[in-house]
Amino acid sequence: MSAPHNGSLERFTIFCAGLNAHSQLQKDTTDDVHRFTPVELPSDEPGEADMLFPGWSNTVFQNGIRVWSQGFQNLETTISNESDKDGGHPHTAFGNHEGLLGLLSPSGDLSVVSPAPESAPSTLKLITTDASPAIRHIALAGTDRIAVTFRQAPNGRLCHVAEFANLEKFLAWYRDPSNADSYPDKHHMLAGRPKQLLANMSSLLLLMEGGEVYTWGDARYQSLGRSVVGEGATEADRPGIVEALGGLRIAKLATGGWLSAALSEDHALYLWGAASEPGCEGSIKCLREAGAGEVALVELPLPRRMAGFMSWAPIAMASSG
Amino acid sequence: MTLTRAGPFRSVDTGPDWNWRSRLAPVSFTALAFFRMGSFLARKTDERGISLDRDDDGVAPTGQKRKASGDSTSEDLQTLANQIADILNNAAANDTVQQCGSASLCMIATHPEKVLELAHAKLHASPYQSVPLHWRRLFEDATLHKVVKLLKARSFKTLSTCRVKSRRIEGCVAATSESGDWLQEIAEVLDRGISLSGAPGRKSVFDAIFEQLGVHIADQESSDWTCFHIGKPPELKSRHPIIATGGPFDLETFQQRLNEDCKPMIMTGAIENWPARRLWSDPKYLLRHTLGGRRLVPVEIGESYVSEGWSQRMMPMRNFIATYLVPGDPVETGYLAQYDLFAQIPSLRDDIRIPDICYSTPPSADTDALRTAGLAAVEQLDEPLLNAWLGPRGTKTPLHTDPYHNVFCQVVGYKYVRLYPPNETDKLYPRGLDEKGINMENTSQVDMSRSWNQVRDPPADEVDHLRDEFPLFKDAKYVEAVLKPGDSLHVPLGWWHYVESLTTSFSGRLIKLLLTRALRL
Repeated sequence: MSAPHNGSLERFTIFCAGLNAHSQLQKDTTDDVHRFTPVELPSDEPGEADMLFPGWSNTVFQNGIRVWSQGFQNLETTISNESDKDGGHPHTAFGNHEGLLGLLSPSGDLSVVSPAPESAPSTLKLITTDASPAIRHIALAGTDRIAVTFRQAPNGRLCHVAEFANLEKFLAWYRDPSNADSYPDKHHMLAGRPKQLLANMSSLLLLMEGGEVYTWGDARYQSLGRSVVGEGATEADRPGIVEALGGLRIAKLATGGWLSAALSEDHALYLWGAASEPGCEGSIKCLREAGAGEVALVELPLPRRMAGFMSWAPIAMASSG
Repeated sequence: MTLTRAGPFRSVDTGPDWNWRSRLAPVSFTALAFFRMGSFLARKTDERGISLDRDDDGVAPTGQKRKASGDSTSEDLQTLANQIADILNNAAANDTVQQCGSASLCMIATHPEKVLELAHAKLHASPYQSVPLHWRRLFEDATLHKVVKLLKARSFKTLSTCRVKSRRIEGCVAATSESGDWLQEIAEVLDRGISLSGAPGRKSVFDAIFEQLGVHIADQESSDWTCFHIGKPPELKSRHPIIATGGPFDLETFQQRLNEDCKPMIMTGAIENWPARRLWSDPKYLLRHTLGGRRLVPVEIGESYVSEGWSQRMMPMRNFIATYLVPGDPVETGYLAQYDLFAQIPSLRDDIRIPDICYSTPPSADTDALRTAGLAAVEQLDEPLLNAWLGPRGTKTPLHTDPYHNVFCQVVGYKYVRLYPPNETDKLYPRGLDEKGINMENTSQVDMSRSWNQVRDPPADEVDHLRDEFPLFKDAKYVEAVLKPGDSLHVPLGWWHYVESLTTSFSGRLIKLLLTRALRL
């Protein structure tokens, strides 16, 4: 299910490997893909496609304004052509094992997947109005918990994070934020400006523009990369700084399953989390010895561009352990 | 992943792997029928609901024959597979499992392994108590679909193999030694399914499958193990014995006694009518009731649950017996402890009878007992909590309390027990939070196994250590006894207890099966 980008300066090719039971990676078969293989895209697609959402049962691609799904979900729709100033992934996708659930644009426009009658494909429907909360990031965990950050003023220094038990509750609030019954389950305030908000199976991660990393959620499998008991430790269900990365300026985070990775500005890669998927055999060597508040520095050959991985099991990294 | 067992009341919040201890749901609410496969009817029972084949010597009553021909084995497996598939495919439209969504359900029959992976991840995403029911249902249904595939594959293989053989040999033995592998694989898939999901919707289907699979165990699969040798330990000469009584054990007398004085008491002879007293000292009996020892059981490995390097592992019952019970001097201690074996193996439940005294109403806890760790979190028990302990000589359960009343029934072998009342708690140095944040205050810091030994006094340096670290401990008042086979011990709520299995003189092995029954508060 991981679909990393592998780029040269001019072109992107999307490679894929993993679960293919819904033909979400390779169309003519339901056999799993065991070697990294260029993903099959529709032959009528001009230009290049981006991978927007890798799910358990589908992969969602984007090319320009066209968004479509390969695999179980029947999705065919168009979106606005916004892009952020860096020209990277303009939209944040969120979804679950059933498929894509929604998309948040850089300007804060939220669209949700709307099913169509019969066998017609689902589409994305814009639900943002002038009265909607101005949100900047969104992330949905495998436990159904969903978190958002709010758009800040250009000189704003306080980051607000709201958490909801599930998508329905979030949407109820989004549609009517003044209703006391819809208030967020949790509300956190942290110093700084948020850069990335991510979720994996059971926890949430927040990268600030200053390079600090906060984690919170389920602490059982060392997913948080920090202590949750003892002197000065932040409880698991509130964002706490990953002290082991203290002093480093982290440029980018990636996470999936119970594993997280941080790429520093000087191109060092750090891993933390479960050495193996809970209850499973096989483990990542460098993580086996790591304790609750430790991260592992990974030796990697150059280049070290990390696009991300959303795997359920740490397929990409296990071979190096 | 290390787990801790800090007293039987606490649900171990480290994942669903050990949820058998207390979470098996009552009989399934989904429609099902016990399998009828021609002559493979469920065991016939007498008018008291007790099996006619009570001594389980392998001679079945009419209707429980083992067929010898390979063709019919193949047919039986195919029939079983189809029956399971029928049940799965006829689920109600509003079944909870539908909440998992179509992406997984549409492939559960064709790709059960993939669906198992998804459900497995979801089971581990939250603490077990918070895992939504529909993921547990998905795991158990996917397990059963996988078993359908395995049975069909085996059915086909048996058919092809035996058709080849029958040209040369007349007839074909149903189960050969190599066939043990397929049964083990299926047993492990089923047991894992029950263990991880808690079998919320399909428990009776699992039970019925195991019962049907039981007929495929070859006669020659019995081992050469003899009964566990139990040598009587030396008498305990104690100045503080636990009060013992020979009866009567009717509910009224016991209730009266409880109301007057709720102190620990040993009842001798209260479980004489248990078939277990005759049957459980034979490892072959245990093998027969665990599908030839293939059923997976959770085993604790290490000196005690507070010692370094202690771990838990699932293993086939046969391996547990062979590695940890039969050898005279096993490398490590392995203990099948505090485990609801009866939920997993319903046939063993027939070997015990809940004593009437377990239906008494204990008095309200006094001030000291009200401080018992975990009391606030305990739920009312509608049904008895049954646990079993099966282990070798030398197992040690550290000094701890439980937030409910216990009745321990000693079935086979001998155990030393020491009890401290709730009002001595401050002299027993309860632990606090451990490094993972787990509350261990129901367990004492004092390592009793170092300070007590049946045959010799503790070494001087141990006495000194105890005095320095835990000065008040020696002043704490206690009562003690050695439980012998047939004894039942009532441990009231909040009483600290230390339990150690004793050795015999020269055979070097002592194995005991200990049963506790938690009373309603």
